[in-house]
Amino acid sequence: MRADSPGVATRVLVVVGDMAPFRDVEVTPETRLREDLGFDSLSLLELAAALEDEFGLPGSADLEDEIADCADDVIRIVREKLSEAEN
Amino acid sequence: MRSVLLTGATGLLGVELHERLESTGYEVTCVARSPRGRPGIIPWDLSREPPPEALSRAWDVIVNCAADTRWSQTAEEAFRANVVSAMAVAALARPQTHFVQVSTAAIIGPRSDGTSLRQTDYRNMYEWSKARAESALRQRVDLLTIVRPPLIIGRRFDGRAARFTGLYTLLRGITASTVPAVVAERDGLFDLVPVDDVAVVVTDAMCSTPPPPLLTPVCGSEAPRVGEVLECMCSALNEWRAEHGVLPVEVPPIIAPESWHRFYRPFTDDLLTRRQKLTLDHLDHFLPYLKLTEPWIPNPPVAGSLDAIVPSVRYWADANLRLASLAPRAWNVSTG
Repeated sequence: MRADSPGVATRVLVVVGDMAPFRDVEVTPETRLREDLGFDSLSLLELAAALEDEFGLPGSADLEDEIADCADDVIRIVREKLSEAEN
Repeated sequence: MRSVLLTGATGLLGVELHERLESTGYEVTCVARSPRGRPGIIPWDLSREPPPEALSRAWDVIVNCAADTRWSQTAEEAFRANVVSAMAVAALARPQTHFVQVSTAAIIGPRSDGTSLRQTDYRNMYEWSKARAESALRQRVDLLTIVRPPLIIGRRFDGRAARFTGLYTLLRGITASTVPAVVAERDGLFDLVPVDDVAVVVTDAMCSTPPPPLLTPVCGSEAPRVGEVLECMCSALNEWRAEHGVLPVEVPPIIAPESWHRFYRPFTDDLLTRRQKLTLDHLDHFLPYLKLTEPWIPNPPVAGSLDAIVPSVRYWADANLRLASLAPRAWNVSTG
């Protein structure tokens, strides 16, 4: 999948929702990972592993280093990693 | 109909107790810090807010399941979460109220029977705070039952669990390929009880006259060993994965704590990625519970819990399809 594909955002939101400790929340780009979805440091590691699995990113991507506040940050980071992989 | 105030109602034990109490004819009022839209549960952050007006009434029974069970808490965090909150609930008890405090068997250790108030007598500040709460409640409450379960897993017959902490943390790490090894004594006791067994102990105590002062529902010397639990957990997970067309995970090797700290960790620390370090740091909190050799004394005894691991793993996997289905990754210092 290309980094600029509109499908990236949809797939990221699905993964974030599947991995969220709180499941009763609709995940949008504005949804906050910790406050709204209950992520902690360990579950963020698991989210990073799931994103790598979903998008075929290398295991050394260390996505959790850059995951910040909300789902939109995750979309941006995945796009960056995909773009790096394309180049 | 006897009235019950149940705190921590959205937690692992709270959810089970709520159902059991309602089905046996109690009038149950539930509170939780974050009800998250669940109808009928009153929001109350016990350690930071005054009690809602609706709770100021005579209760026949108060069951305090509210707790922050993180082993990594500071003393200040643990005190607020587990002592201040318990005392806030105790303030709602009247002389005739039977107060049931859910504590932890883990406060019984090599340096204390759970009565010491010194921080250094406990493995972490969570344990210390639960001992402090027990002590404070003994001074404040007349009709008190303290229940000290070990780690709690899902229901014995179907594995249902409202939260996935404790044993599930290991399971989650294994499926995410972030657990390279389990630092433990292979033959250490891993005392686990199904949540429905604990709920029965609590509800039985509520019916007892006079109330029993202390209950420790553990497997004791019948507890499974660390190696057995790990094998059983991975076997159940791999059976589930095979049914879902996913490659099996490997059972992580068990490395004795002394070998790990003397020979493994010092030589790999500079090479670890942040993810690897975070995982290992997190697992460090587990270590004291994976090298227990002295069994806790059961009162009442709980039947062997090894069989209950299988439905617990399967329930967790069904509830966490994506994580449980992750492809295994080789774990070494050059990959995350």
